Amino acid sequence: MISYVDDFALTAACPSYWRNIRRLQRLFENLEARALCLNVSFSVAKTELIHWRTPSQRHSPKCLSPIQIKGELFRPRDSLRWLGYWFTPALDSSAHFSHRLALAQGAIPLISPLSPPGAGLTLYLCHRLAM
Amino acid sequence: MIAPILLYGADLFTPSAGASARLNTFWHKVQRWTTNCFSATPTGILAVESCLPPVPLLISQRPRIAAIRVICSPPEVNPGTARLHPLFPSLSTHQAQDSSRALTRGLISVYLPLHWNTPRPVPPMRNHLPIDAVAYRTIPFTHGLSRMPMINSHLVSLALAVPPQSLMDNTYSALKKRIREALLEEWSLLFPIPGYYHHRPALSPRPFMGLGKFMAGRIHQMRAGNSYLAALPTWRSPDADTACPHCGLEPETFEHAILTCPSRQGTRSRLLQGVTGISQDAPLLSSLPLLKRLATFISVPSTGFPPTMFPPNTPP
Repeated sequence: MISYVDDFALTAACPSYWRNIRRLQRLFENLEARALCLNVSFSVAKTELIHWRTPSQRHSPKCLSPIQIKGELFRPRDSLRWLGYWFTPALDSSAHFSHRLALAQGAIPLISPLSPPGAGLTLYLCHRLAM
Repeated sequence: MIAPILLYGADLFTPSAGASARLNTFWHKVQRWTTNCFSATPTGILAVESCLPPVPLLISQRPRIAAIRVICSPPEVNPGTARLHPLFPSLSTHQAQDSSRALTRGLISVYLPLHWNTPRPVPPMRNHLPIDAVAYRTIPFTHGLSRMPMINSHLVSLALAVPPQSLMDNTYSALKKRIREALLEEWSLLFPIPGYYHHRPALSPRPFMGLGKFMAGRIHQMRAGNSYLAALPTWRSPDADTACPHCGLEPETFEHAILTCPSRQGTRSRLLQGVTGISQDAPLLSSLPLLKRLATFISVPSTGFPPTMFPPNTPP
Protein backbone atom coordinates (compact mmCIF):
# COMPACT_ATOMS: atom_id res chain seq x y z
CA MET A 1 0.00 0.00 0.00
CA ILE A 2 1.26 3.46 -0.87
CA SER A 3 -0.44 6.49 0.60
CA TYR A 4 -0.01 10.23 0.58
CA VAL A 5 -2.14 12.10 3.14
CA ASP A 6 -5.65 10.90 2.24
CA ASP A 7 -4.90 9.25 -1.11
CA PHE A 8 -4.38 5.50 -0.90
CA ALA A 9 -3.15 3.12 -3.57
CA LEU A 10 -3.40 -0.63 -3.08
CA THR A 11 -1.17 -2.70 -5.34
CA ALA A 12 -1.18 -6.46 -5.70
CA ALA A 13 0.76 -8.80 -8.00
CA CYS A 14 -0.62 -12.17 -9.10
CA PRO A 15 -0.30 -14.39 -12.15
CA SER A 16 -3.99 -13.98 -12.98
CA TYR A 17 -6.35 -11.01 -13.19
CA TRP A 18 -9.07 -12.87 -11.28
CA ARG A 19 -6.83 -13.66 -8.29
CA ASN A 20 -5.51 -10.14 -8.36
CA ILE A 21 -9.00 -8.69 -8.08
CA ARG A 22 -9.90 -11.09 -5.26
CA ARG A 23 -6.75 -10.14 -3.38
CA LEU A 24 -7.46 -6.43 -3.79
CA GLN A 25 -10.99 -6.95 -2.45
CA ARG A 26 -9.64 -8.74 0.62
CA LEU A 27 -7.01 -6.05 1.13
CA PHE A 28 -9.69 -3.41 1.05
CA GLU A 29 -11.83 -5.31 3.56
CA ASN A 30 -8.86 -5.59 5.93
CA LEU A 31 -8.03 -1.95 5.53
CA GLU A 32 -11.59 -0.88 6.10
CA ALA A 33 -11.85 -3.03 9.23
CA ARG A 34 -8.75 -1.40 10.66
CA ALA A 35 -9.91 2.07 9.68
CA LEU A 36 -13.28 1.53 11.36
CA CYS A 37 -11.49 1.06 14.68
CA LEU A 38 -10.10 4.56 14.21
CA ASN A 39 -13.46 6.01 13.12
CA VAL A 40 -12.11 6.52 9.63
CA SER A 41 -14.09 5.70 6.50
CA PHE A 42 -13.23 5.63 2.82
CA SER A 43 -15.12 7.21 -0.03
CA VAL A 44 -15.68 4.08 -2.08
CA ALA A 45 -17.18 6.01 -4.98
CA LYS A 46 -13.75 7.44 -5.77
CA THR A 47 -12.23 4.00 -6.30
CA GLU A 48 -10.42 3.37 -9.56
CA LEU A 49 -8.88 0.14 -10.85
CA ILE A 50 -6.01 -0.34 -13.27
CA HIS A 51 -4.03 -3.42 -14.28
CA TRP A 52 -0.34 -2.78 -14.87
CA ARG A 53 1.10 -4.57 -17.86
CA THR A 54 4.71 -5.29 -18.72
CA PRO A 55 5.93 -4.72 -22.30
CA SER A 56 5.80 -8.47 -22.93
CA GLN A 57 2.09 -8.49 -22.01
CA ARG A 58 1.31 -5.76 -24.53
CA HIS A 59 -0.53 -8.10 -26.90
CA SER A 60 -2.21 -10.29 -24.30
CA PRO A 61 -5.99 -9.86 -23.87
CA LYS A 62 -7.16 -7.08 -21.58
CA CYS A 63 -9.12 -7.81 -18.44
CA LEU A 64 -12.55 -6.19 -18.35
CA SER A 65 -13.79 -7.85 -15.15
CA PRO A 66 -14.83 -5.32 -12.55
CA ILE A 67 -13.87 -5.25 -8.91
CA GLN A 68 -16.70 -5.22 -6.41
CA ILE A 69 -16.30 -3.09 -3.32
CA LYS A 70 -19.22 -2.66 -0.92
CA GLY A 71 -21.68 -3.61 -3.63
CA GLU A 72 -20.30 -1.19 -6.19
CA LEU A 73 -18.59 -2.35 -9.37
CA PHE A 74 -15.51 -0.64 -10.78
CA ARG A 75 -14.21 -1.61 -14.19
CA PRO A 76 -10.48 -1.42 -15.08
CA ARG A 77 -9.54 1.86 -16.71
CA ASP A 78 -7.15 2.71 -19.51
CA SER A 79 -5.71 5.59 -17.50
CA LEU A 80 -6.22 6.98 -14.05
CA ARG A 81 -5.07 9.99 -12.12
CA TRP A 82 -3.29 9.72 -8.79
CA LEU A 83 -1.53 12.63 -7.07
CA GLY A 84 -1.66 14.61 -10.30
CA TYR A 85 0.02 11.88 -12.33
CA TRP A 86 -1.81 10.15 -15.14
CA PHE A 87 -0.96 6.47 -15.19
CA THR A 88 -1.59 4.02 -18.01
CA PRO A 89 -1.35 0.21 -17.81
CA ALA A 90 2.06 0.29 -19.53
CA LEU A 91 3.27 3.23 -17.37
CA ASP A 92 3.62 5.28 -20.52
CA SER A 93 4.22 8.99 -19.89
CA SER A 94 2.40 10.20 -23.03
CA ALA A 95 -1.02 10.29 -21.38
CA HIS A 96 0.35 12.29 -18.46
CA PHE A 97 2.03 14.91 -20.62
CA SER A 98 -0.97 15.16 -22.96
CA HIS A 99 -3.07 16.13 -19.95
CA ARG A 100 -0.41 18.56 -18.72
CA LEU A 101 -0.30 20.18 -22.16
CA ALA A 102 -4.09 20.53 -22.23
CA LEU A 103 -4.03 22.12 -18.77
CA ALA A 104 -1.29 24.57 -19.76
CA GLN A 105 -3.15 25.47 -22.94
CA GLY A 106 -6.22 26.07 -20.82
CA ALA A 107 -4.30 28.50 -18.63
CA ILE A 108 -3.29 30.70 -21.56
CA PRO A 109 -6.78 32.23 -22.13
CA LEU A 110 -6.83 33.14 -18.43
CA ILE A 111 -3.57 35.08 -18.45
CA SER A 112 -3.58 36.43 -21.99
CA PRO A 113 -6.15 39.18 -21.22
CA LEU A 114 -3.71 40.51 -18.63
CA SER A 115 -1.31 41.37 -21.41
CA PRO A 116 -2.98 42.26 -24.72
CA PRO A 117 -0.70 43.24 -27.64
CA GLY A 118 1.21 46.42 -26.88
CA ALA A 119 -0.32 46.98 -23.45
CA GLY A 120 -0.91 45.40 -20.07
CA LEU A 121 1.71 43.63 -18.00
CA THR A 122 5.37 44.29 -18.66
CA LEU A 123 7.35 41.54 -20.35
CA TYR A 124 9.21 41.05 -17.07
CA LEU A 125 5.94 40.10 -15.38
CA CYS A 126 4.98 37.95 -18.38
CA HIS A 127 8.25 36.08 -17.86
CA ARG A 128 7.42 35.62 -14.19
CA LEU A 129 4.01 34.26 -15.15
CA ALA A 130 5.56 31.86 -17.64
CA MET A 131 8.14 30.42 -15.22
CA MET B 1 2.73 29.53 -13.62
CA ILE B 2 2.79 27.97 -17.10
CA ALA B 3 5.99 25.94 -16.68
CA PRO B 4 4.92 24.31 -13.40
CA ILE B 5 1.60 23.31 -14.97
CA LEU B 6 3.24 22.04 -18.13
CA LEU B 7 6.11 20.16 -16.50
CA TYR B 8 4.44 18.76 -13.40
CA GLY B 9 5.62 15.18 -13.10
CA ALA B 10 8.76 15.67 -15.19
CA ASP B 11 10.69 14.92 -11.99
CA LEU B 12 9.73 11.26 -12.35
CA PHE B 13 8.34 10.81 -15.84
CA THR B 14 10.41 11.36 -18.96
CA PRO B 15 8.27 12.35 -21.93
CA SER B 16 8.75 10.58 -25.23
CA ALA B 17 10.36 12.45 -28.11
CA GLY B 18 6.94 13.15 -29.64
CA ALA B 19 5.46 14.44 -26.39
CA SER B 20 8.53 16.56 -25.79
CA ALA B 21 8.19 18.08 -29.28
CA ARG B 22 4.51 18.92 -28.63
CA LEU B 23 5.36 20.56 -25.32
CA ASN B 24 8.14 22.53 -27.01
CA THR B 25 5.82 23.78 -29.75
CA PHE B 26 3.45 25.11 -27.11
CA TRP B 27 6.39 26.57 -25.20
CA HIS B 28 7.39 28.57 -28.29
CA LYS B 29 4.01 30.31 -28.11
CA VAL B 30 4.67 31.21 -24.51
CA GLN B 31 8.13 32.53 -25.46
CA ARG B 32 6.56 34.64 -28.22
CA TRP B 33 3.96 35.98 -25.79
CA THR B 34 6.77 36.90 -23.38
CA THR B 35 8.81 38.78 -25.97
CA ASN B 36 6.36 40.06 -28.60
CA CYS B 37 8.70 38.63 -31.23
CA PHE B 38 7.44 37.73 -34.68
CA SER B 39 6.44 34.22 -35.67
CA ALA B 40 9.32 34.26 -38.17
CA THR B 41 11.91 34.68 -35.41
CA PRO B 42 14.09 31.55 -35.20
CA THR B 43 13.15 29.47 -32.18
CA GLY B 44 16.74 29.40 -30.90
CA ILE B 45 16.82 33.20 -30.76
CA LEU B 46 13.30 33.30 -29.36
CA ALA B 47 14.36 31.15 -26.39
CA VAL B 48 17.41 33.31 -25.65
CA GLU B 49 15.43 36.54 -25.96
CA SER B 50 12.68 35.34 -23.65
CA CYS B 51 15.13 33.86 -21.11
CA LEU B 52 12.95 30.75 -21.15
CA PRO B 53 15.02 27.62 -21.86
CA PRO B 54 13.73 25.11 -24.41
CA VAL B 55 11.49 22.42 -22.95
CA PRO B 56 13.99 19.52 -23.38
CA LEU B 57 16.43 21.39 -21.14
CA LEU B 58 13.76 22.12 -18.53
CA ILE B 59 12.78 18.45 -18.61
CA SER B 60 16.36 17.38 -17.98
CA GLN B 61 16.70 19.93 -15.16
CA ARG B 62 13.64 18.81 -13.18
CA PRO B 63 14.94 15.36 -12.15
CA ARG B 64 18.24 16.92 -11.09
CA ILE B 65 16.47 19.42 -8.84
CA ALA B 66 14.37 16.59 -7.41
CA ALA B 67 17.53 14.54 -6.81
CA ILE B 68 19.31 17.22 -4.83
CA ARG B 69 16.12 17.82 -2.86
CA VAL B 70 16.27 14.18 -1.80
CA ILE B 71 19.96 14.05 -0.92
CA CYS B 72 19.86 17.35 0.98
CA SER B 73 16.93 16.30 3.16
CA PRO B 74 17.51 14.85 6.61
CA PRO B 75 16.86 11.07 6.41
CA GLU B 76 14.78 11.33 9.57
CA VAL B 77 12.35 13.55 7.68
CA ASN B 78 12.42 12.24 4.13
CA PRO B 79 11.80 8.48 3.71
CA GLY B 80 13.41 8.64 0.26
CA THR B 81 16.66 9.94 1.75
CA ALA B 82 16.61 7.18 4.35
CA ARG B 83 16.54 4.66 1.52
CA LEU B 84 19.75 5.88 -0.11
CA HIS B 85 22.47 3.30 -0.54
CA PRO B 86 24.40 2.55 2.70
CA LEU B 87 27.62 3.66 0.99
CA PHE B 88 26.15 6.97 -0.14
CA PRO B 89 28.24 9.52 1.79
CA SER B 90 25.99 10.84 4.49
CA LEU B 91 26.54 12.35 7.88
CA SER B 92 23.48 10.82 9.36
CA THR B 93 23.48 7.34 10.82
CA HIS B 94 19.73 7.04 10.38
CA GLN B 95 18.86 4.64 7.60
CA ALA B 96 15.96 2.50 6.56
CA GLN B 97 16.27 -1.26 6.60
CA ASP B 98 18.06 -2.64 3.58
CA SER B 99 14.96 -4.60 2.59
CA SER B 100 13.03 -1.32 2.45
CA ARG B 101 15.37 0.28 -0.05
CA ALA B 102 13.42 -1.02 -2.98
CA LEU B 103 10.48 -3.20 -3.82
CA THR B 104 12.78 -6.09 -4.57
CA ARG B 105 10.52 -8.83 -3.29
CA GLY B 106 9.37 -10.98 -6.16
CA LEU B 107 12.08 -9.92 -8.59
CA ILE B 108 13.74 -12.73 -10.48
CA SER B 109 16.99 -13.90 -8.96
CA VAL B 110 19.19 -12.95 -11.91
CA TYR B 111 18.30 -9.30 -11.46
CA LEU B 112 21.29 -7.65 -9.88
CA PRO B 113 20.97 -3.89 -9.83
CA LEU B 114 24.00 -1.71 -10.37
CA HIS B 115 25.85 -0.12 -7.49
CA TRP B 116 24.55 3.39 -6.91
CA ASN B 117 27.63 5.20 -8.31
CA THR B 118 28.29 2.88 -11.27
CA PRO B 119 27.50 4.34 -14.68
CA ARG B 120 24.88 2.56 -16.70
CA PRO B 121 26.55 0.32 -19.34
CA VAL B 122 25.73 0.65 -23.02
CA PRO B 123 23.66 -1.24 -24.07
CA PRO B 124 21.88 -1.07 -20.72
CA MET B 125 21.88 -4.57 -19.23
CA ARG B 126 21.32 -3.72 -15.61
CA ASN B 127 19.83 -0.71 -13.98
CA HIS B 128 20.05 1.12 -10.70
CA LEU B 129 17.35 0.80 -8.12
CA PRO B 130 15.10 3.85 -8.45
CA ILE B 131 16.52 5.60 -5.38
CA ASP B 132 20.08 4.79 -6.52
CA ALA B 133 19.30 6.28 -9.91
CA VAL B 134 18.27 9.45 -8.07
CA ALA B 135 21.56 9.49 -6.13
CA TYR B 136 23.56 8.83 -9.28
CA ARG B 137 22.17 11.95 -10.93
CA THR B 138 23.83 14.14 -8.30
CA ILE B 139 27.40 12.89 -8.86
CA PRO B 140 28.40 15.52 -11.48
CA PHE B 141 27.22 18.34 -9.24
CA THR B 142 28.65 17.23 -5.90
CA HIS B 143 32.22 16.75 -7.06
CA GLY B 144 34.64 19.03 -5.22
CA LEU B 145 31.95 20.91 -3.35
CA SER B 146 33.53 21.78 -0.03
CA ARG B 147 30.21 22.56 1.61
CA MET B 148 28.70 19.25 0.59
CA PRO B 149 27.73 17.85 4.01
CA MET B 150 28.22 14.29 2.88
CA ILE B 151 31.97 14.73 2.40
CA ASN B 152 32.69 17.38 5.00
CA SER B 153 35.16 15.59 7.26
CA HIS B 154 35.03 18.33 9.88
CA LEU B 155 31.36 17.63 10.51
CA VAL B 156 31.89 13.89 10.38
CA SER B 157 34.35 14.24 13.25
CA LEU B 158 31.70 16.06 15.24
CA ALA B 159 29.44 13.04 14.76
CA LEU B 160 26.35 15.12 14.20
CA ALA B 161 23.24 13.06 13.77
CA VAL B 162 21.50 15.62 11.59
CA PRO B 163 23.52 18.27 9.74
CA PRO B 164 22.59 21.83 10.75
CA GLN B 165 19.72 23.38 8.81
CA SER B 166 21.90 26.27 7.59
CA LEU B 167 24.45 23.84 6.17
CA MET B 168 21.76 21.92 4.34
CA ASP B 169 20.36 25.17 2.96
CA ASN B 170 23.78 26.33 1.76
CA THR B 171 24.50 22.98 0.16
CA TYR B 172 21.15 22.95 -1.56
CA SER B 173 21.73 26.47 -2.91
CA ALA B 174 25.23 25.61 -4.15
CA LEU B 175 24.01 22.47 -5.88
CA LYS B 176 21.09 24.34 -7.42
CA LYS B 177 23.48 26.97 -8.73
CA ARG B 178 25.60 24.27 -10.36
CA ILE B 179 22.52 22.79 -12.00
CA ARG B 180 21.61 26.20 -13.39
CA GLU B 181 25.15 26.59 -14.75
CA ALA B 182 24.94 23.15 -16.34
CA LEU B 183 21.63 24.12 -17.91
CA LEU B 184 23.13 27.26 -19.44
CA GLU B 185 26.10 25.28 -20.74
CA GLU B 186 23.84 22.67 -22.33
CA TRP B 187 21.68 25.43 -23.78
CA SER B 188 24.67 26.89 -25.64
CA LEU B 189 25.89 23.49 -26.80
CA LEU B 190 22.67 21.73 -27.76
CA PHE B 191 20.62 24.63 -29.09
CA PRO B 192 22.95 26.68 -31.30
CA ILE B 193 21.76 30.08 -32.42
CA PRO B 194 22.37 31.78 -35.80
CA GLY B 195 25.73 33.45 -36.16
CA TYR B 196 24.32 36.96 -36.57
CA TYR B 197 22.83 36.87 -33.07
CA HIS B 198 25.41 37.63 -30.40
CA HIS B 199 23.53 37.50 -27.10
CA ARG B 200 24.09 34.75 -24.56
CA PRO B 201 21.40 32.60 -22.92
CA ALA B 202 20.27 33.75 -19.49
CA LEU B 203 17.68 32.56 -17.01
CA SER B 204 16.92 35.93 -15.40
CA PRO B 205 14.82 38.42 -17.36
CA ARG B 206 16.74 41.21 -19.15
CA PRO B 207 16.58 44.60 -17.45
CA PHE B 208 14.82 46.21 -20.42
CA MET B 209 11.93 43.76 -19.99
CA GLY B 210 10.81 46.02 -17.15
CA LEU B 211 10.00 48.80 -19.65
CA GLY B 212 6.48 49.13 -20.99
CA LYS B 213 5.37 46.13 -22.99
CA PHE B 214 5.25 47.94 -26.33
CA MET B 215 8.74 49.41 -25.99
CA ALA B 216 10.34 46.24 -24.60
CA GLY B 217 8.75 44.34 -27.47
CA ARG B 218 10.39 46.72 -30.01
CA ILE B 219 13.79 46.13 -28.38
CA HIS B 220 13.28 42.36 -28.39
CA GLN B 221 12.34 42.41 -32.07
CA MET B 222 15.32 44.58 -33.05
CA ARG B 223 17.76 42.48 -31.02
CA ALA B 224 16.34 39.28 -32.51
CA GLY B 225 17.00 40.57 -36.03
CA ASN B 226 13.37 40.29 -37.03
CA SER B 227 11.59 43.60 -36.72
CA TYR B 228 10.03 46.50 -38.61
CA LEU B 229 13.48 48.00 -39.28
CA ALA B 230 14.15 48.19 -43.03
CA ALA B 231 17.30 46.05 -42.96
CA LEU B 232 15.67 43.29 -40.94
CA PRO B 233 13.02 42.11 -43.40
CA THR B 234 10.70 39.24 -42.73
CA TRP B 235 10.01 36.38 -45.10
CA ARG B 236 7.02 38.34 -46.40
CA SER B 237 9.19 41.00 -48.02
CA PRO B 238 12.61 39.50 -48.77
CA ASP B 239 13.31 41.95 -51.61
CA ALA B 240 12.30 45.15 -49.83
CA ASP B 241 14.58 48.18 -49.79
CA THR B 242 16.88 47.89 -46.78
CA ALA B 243 18.06 51.52 -46.76
CA CYS B 244 17.26 53.61 -43.71
CA PRO B 245 14.06 55.59 -44.48
CA HIS B 246 15.37 58.51 -42.40
CA CYS B 247 18.85 59.05 -43.89
CA GLY B 248 18.92 56.68 -46.87
CA LEU B 249 22.69 56.20 -46.46
CA GLU B 250 23.01 52.77 -44.86
CA PRO B 251 20.86 49.72 -44.21
CA GLU B 252 18.61 50.34 -41.23
CA THR B 253 19.92 47.82 -38.72
CA PHE B 254 19.48 47.97 -34.92
CA GLU B 255 23.00 49.35 -34.55
CA HIS B 256 22.50 51.94 -37.30
CA ALA B 257 19.15 53.10 -35.88
CA ILE B 258 20.51 53.53 -32.36
CA LEU B 259 24.18 54.48 -32.82
CA THR B 260 25.01 55.87 -36.25
CA CYS B 261 21.97 57.20 -38.14
CA PRO B 262 22.84 60.87 -38.95
CA SER B 263 19.21 61.97 -39.10
CA ARG B 264 18.77 61.05 -35.42
CA GLN B 265 21.98 62.74 -34.30
CA GLY B 266 20.23 65.57 -32.47
CA THR B 267 18.07 63.29 -30.38
CA ARG B 268 21.01 60.95 -29.82
CA SER B 269 23.32 63.64 -28.51
CA ARG B 270 20.56 64.79 -26.15
CA LEU B 271 19.52 61.36 -24.82
CA LEU B 272 22.27 58.83 -25.50
CA GLN B 273 25.45 60.85 -25.26
CA GLY B 274 28.48 58.61 -24.70
CA VAL B 275 26.69 55.41 -25.65
CA THR B 276 28.97 53.34 -27.87
CA GLY B 277 27.52 49.83 -27.96
CA ILE B 278 24.34 47.80 -27.93
CA SER B 279 25.84 44.47 -26.92
CA GLN B 280 24.49 42.40 -24.04
CA ASP B 281 27.05 43.77 -21.57
CA ALA B 282 26.76 47.38 -22.74
CA PRO B 283 25.38 49.76 -20.09
CA LEU B 284 22.67 50.86 -22.54
CA LEU B 285 20.74 47.63 -22.01
CA SER B 286 21.48 47.18 -18.31
CA SER B 287 21.34 50.62 -16.68
CA LEU B 288 17.85 51.78 -15.75
CA PRO B 289 18.35 55.53 -16.49
CA LEU B 290 19.88 54.70 -19.87
CA LEU B 291 17.08 52.27 -20.63
CA LYS B 292 14.50 54.99 -20.01
CA ARG B 293 16.39 57.31 -22.34
CA LEU B 294 16.64 54.54 -24.93
CA ALA B 295 12.87 54.09 -24.75
CA THR B 296 12.41 57.82 -25.38
CA PHE B 297 14.97 57.72 -28.19
CA ILE B 298 13.16 54.88 -29.89
CA SER B 299 9.72 56.41 -29.48
CA VAL B 300 10.57 59.92 -30.74
CA PRO B 301 11.31 58.90 -34.35
CA SER B 302 9.13 55.75 -33.96
CA THR B 303 12.06 53.40 -34.59
CA GLY B 304 10.92 49.88 -35.34
CA PHE B 305 7.24 50.73 -34.94
CA PRO B 306 4.64 48.79 -36.94
CA PRO B 307 3.83 50.59 -40.24
CA THR B 308 0.13 50.10 -39.55
CA MET B 309 0.42 52.65 -36.74
CA PHE B 310 0.93 55.45 -39.26
CA PRO B 311 -1.55 56.87 -41.76
CA PRO B 312 -0.95 55.97 -45.44
CA ASN B 313 1.69 58.04 -47.34
CA THR B 314 3.28 59.19 -44.09
CA PRO B 315 6.93 58.19 -43.58
CA PRO B 316 7.47 56.57 -40.19
